[in-house]
Amino acid sequence: MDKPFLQFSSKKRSELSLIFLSIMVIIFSSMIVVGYWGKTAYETLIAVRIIHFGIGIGSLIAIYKLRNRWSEKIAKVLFSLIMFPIFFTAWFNHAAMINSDESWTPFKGFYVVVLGLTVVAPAGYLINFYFLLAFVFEIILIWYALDIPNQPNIILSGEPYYALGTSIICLLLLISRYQDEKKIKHLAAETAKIEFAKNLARVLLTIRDRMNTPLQNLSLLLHILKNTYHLPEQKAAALENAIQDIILTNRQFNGLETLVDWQGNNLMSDEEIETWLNSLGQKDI
Amino acid sequence: MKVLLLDDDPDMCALMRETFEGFRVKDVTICNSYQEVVDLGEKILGYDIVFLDVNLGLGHKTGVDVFNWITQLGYKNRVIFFTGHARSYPLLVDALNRPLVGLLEKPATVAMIKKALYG
Repeated sequence: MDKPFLQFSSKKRSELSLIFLSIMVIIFSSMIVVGYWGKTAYETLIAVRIIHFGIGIGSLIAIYKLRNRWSEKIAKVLFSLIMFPIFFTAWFNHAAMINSDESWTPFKGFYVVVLGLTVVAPAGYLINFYFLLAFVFEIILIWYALDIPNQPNIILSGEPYYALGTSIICLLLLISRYQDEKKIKHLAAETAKIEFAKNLARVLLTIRDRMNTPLQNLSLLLHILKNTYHLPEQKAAALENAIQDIILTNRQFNGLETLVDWQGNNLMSDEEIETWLNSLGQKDI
Repeated sequence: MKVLLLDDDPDMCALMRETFEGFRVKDVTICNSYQEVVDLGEKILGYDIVFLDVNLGLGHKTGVDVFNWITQLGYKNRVIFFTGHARSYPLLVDALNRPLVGLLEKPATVAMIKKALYG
């Protein structure tokens, strides 16, 4: 059965998200280049889009080459490389439209970008948050710097308020996603702690259980030796005290019994204890 | 007095037998597994007191299984769970609420064993 997307490891999710973004960049860049090829006023936009297309291809190659030594840093670098040119393509796109004869509505591309940043976070939420903020700033910058409201071929239809409103909603959604993930991580850490405590309890109870019978034997043997062979009283008392000390230490583990699921998991075998102890050496506690 | 002792450790069984004999209990039967008790069949009903260890080795039936079996068979005399488990051990809670069923925590002193034997 296929693994549901949410069960993928964060590494796999990060890789898949970047593959998705790279493919989107390649598709959108190709559409613009093919759509505006040879038209005047679009030369710079086409050049920037070709560069972005190349970055998309390069990113796919890098994801493939670096898949075995994937890290958050690699994800951040690739994500930034894919996202950063969008600032330029957005700018040149608007500049080109102003210089063209076509009637057009500004900021349409921003909707796709801000919604994408809300959904796809291959390198953590913080970097998406900064990119989203930067795009909000760019909307305002384009609005004033390119003098959008006074362009004759512009259809404003509620802009820039819709684009800004959508961006702010996306920012809030991103914050909410970040908080949810923090809670899930916290819950996973707590669950791991409980699991660790249960396993530790099982190990300690197994040791206690294995010590009980030998201790019982020592105790009975001492009684028999005292009565049959008349051990010197001082030596018998010393041995009795030693046994009693171990017994009292052993009884301290009794309180752990309620932690263990006795119906499903009974005491551990030597192999289980060894496996568990080895697993502790492989992770930070 | 007829005593049955179930424990998977033969050394302990031998020492317990000697301890019981010290209390003038001569009729002591030792079993090391669930199956050995089952093999006794209805003879089990003739014992005055049964001492049951709980853990009889990993993957083996436990003293609680033996308790359920002898109870189903109609055994009505005293049962002492002789185990390292505390009174809070979940699998013993039900059994310990029944009349004539007690717990002797391992390791027990000879005085505690004598007290368990004679109530």
